[in-house]
Amino acid sequence: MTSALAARQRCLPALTGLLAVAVLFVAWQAAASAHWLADGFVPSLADIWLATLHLVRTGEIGLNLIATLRAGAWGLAAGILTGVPLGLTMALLPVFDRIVTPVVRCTYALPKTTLIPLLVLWFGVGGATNVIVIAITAALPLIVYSLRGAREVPRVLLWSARSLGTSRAGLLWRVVLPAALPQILTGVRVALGFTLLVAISCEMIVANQGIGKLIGQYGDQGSYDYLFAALFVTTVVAYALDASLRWSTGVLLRWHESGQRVQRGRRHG
Amino acid sequence: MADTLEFTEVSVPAGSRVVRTMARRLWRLSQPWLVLLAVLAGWHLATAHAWVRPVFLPSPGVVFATLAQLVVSGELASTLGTSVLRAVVGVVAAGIVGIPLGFAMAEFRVFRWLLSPYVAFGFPLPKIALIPVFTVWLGMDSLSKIALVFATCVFPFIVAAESGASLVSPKLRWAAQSLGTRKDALFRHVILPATVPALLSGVRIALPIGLITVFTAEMVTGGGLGEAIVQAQRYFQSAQVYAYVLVTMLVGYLADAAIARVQRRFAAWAEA
Repeated sequence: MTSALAARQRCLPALTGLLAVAVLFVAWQAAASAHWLADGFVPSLADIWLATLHLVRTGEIGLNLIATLRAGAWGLAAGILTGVPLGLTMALLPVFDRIVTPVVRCTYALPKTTLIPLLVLWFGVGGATNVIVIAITAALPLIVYSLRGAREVPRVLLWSARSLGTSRAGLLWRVVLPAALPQILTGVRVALGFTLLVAISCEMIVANQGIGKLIGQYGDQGSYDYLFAALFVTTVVAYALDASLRWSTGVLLRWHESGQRVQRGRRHG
Repeated sequence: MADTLEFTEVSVPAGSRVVRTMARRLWRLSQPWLVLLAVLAGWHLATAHAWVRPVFLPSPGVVFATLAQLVVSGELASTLGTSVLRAVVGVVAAGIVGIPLGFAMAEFRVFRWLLSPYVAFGFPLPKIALIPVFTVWLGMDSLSKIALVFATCVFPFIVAAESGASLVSPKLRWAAQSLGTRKDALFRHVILPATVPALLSGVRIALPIGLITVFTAEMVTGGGLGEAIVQAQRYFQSAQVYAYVLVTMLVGYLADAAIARVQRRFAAWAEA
């Protein structure tokens, strides 16, 4: 009986949620077919669906999506590979922290898309510019979260590892990094959001491929059904990326949660 | 901490100790400026020895002169004012709508069930892609940009308010309720104060996104500082591009520093 109750408690929110989305979609379709909305400005869902099918069939959405995701993946990877070590080093070396912090502060809140015109001067219109802007955008939250994570590593852990003869490098790799991992993964999630935002922004400003370019192009042409089709596909992809990141975070941190649970159990038992 | 430990060793003559303390303090104070100085020096060297062409990197003198000229002519004030006003109005509107929605989602199941699918899909959606749509619906002018900032920033606010309010310890609620606190007083005296840190972090996330959104939208559809920077780049007026980038950097920094200050003032207790 308890399992049935639990199942109902789990299903009810999902059902209500589906209902909420369905209501929006039905209202949208009804308004569009009753011509309440300005024709063409808000295409009907049926038109958007047809446009989606067309974009998928011609491979247009696939190619551009791959271009966007490729730039995003390179940028995010570069951001992780520079941001995490920087953040951890800042936590371990106070001098380095004091020297680098002003730079991080200045660039953290900088609206990174304004760098695009500058980078276009240097690297021209195309791949490199976008990847660099994405990398800078992704690196900053990762620096901040890794720093915070490494600072919160319990001193006791560091002392015990030191007293067991762990080298400095070993300390970083086997104690600080795992202990800071939850924060770092939060940073990755924040960075992923920024990555998509900036990748698409870059493509709308300067690019000859990618989802942003596609959306900008259909916006200019006034083909709003295609524009919404591209937008919906992007939303689904963005959601899927975020969900898979959350899922893999859960898998990566299983030791962490379970470790906590074991600890808590012991303390109370 | 390490310094105070070293200061206690008294075997050094008093005079040289003062000098050493001064030197150390000077070194500590100068550290934050080291990178800035290094960048400026490198920049100056690179342009003075013509390692790079002025189109790519104008000399610091030229850039700062251009910046001064933009300030004096009032051009900067008008373009930057437009952009910042749009960003601020959009972020404030997002807060006014998003924070109550977040609270409603935390407190009432119906709201949570109805809204969470929208938040789940709306949050990861790169709202910047809506630029063409909003431009068609609301025009090229400020309204579409404010609406875009609103759409981008409302989700961080909802999420911050919801997670903040649902993290309020149930013991606090029970304690207040058992003392006979009514629902509205509970909200005002317990939930709202307990959520302040989460809300301020929400602002700190929303504001940079708002700035990115405004500048990007302006780069695509014109108006404000975004258009100015794109125009400068298009005509290869590199000094202006650099000047504008410096300005946006300063704006971002000041905005973030201001929120950090407010956080320290009103949410310092949450750090512990």
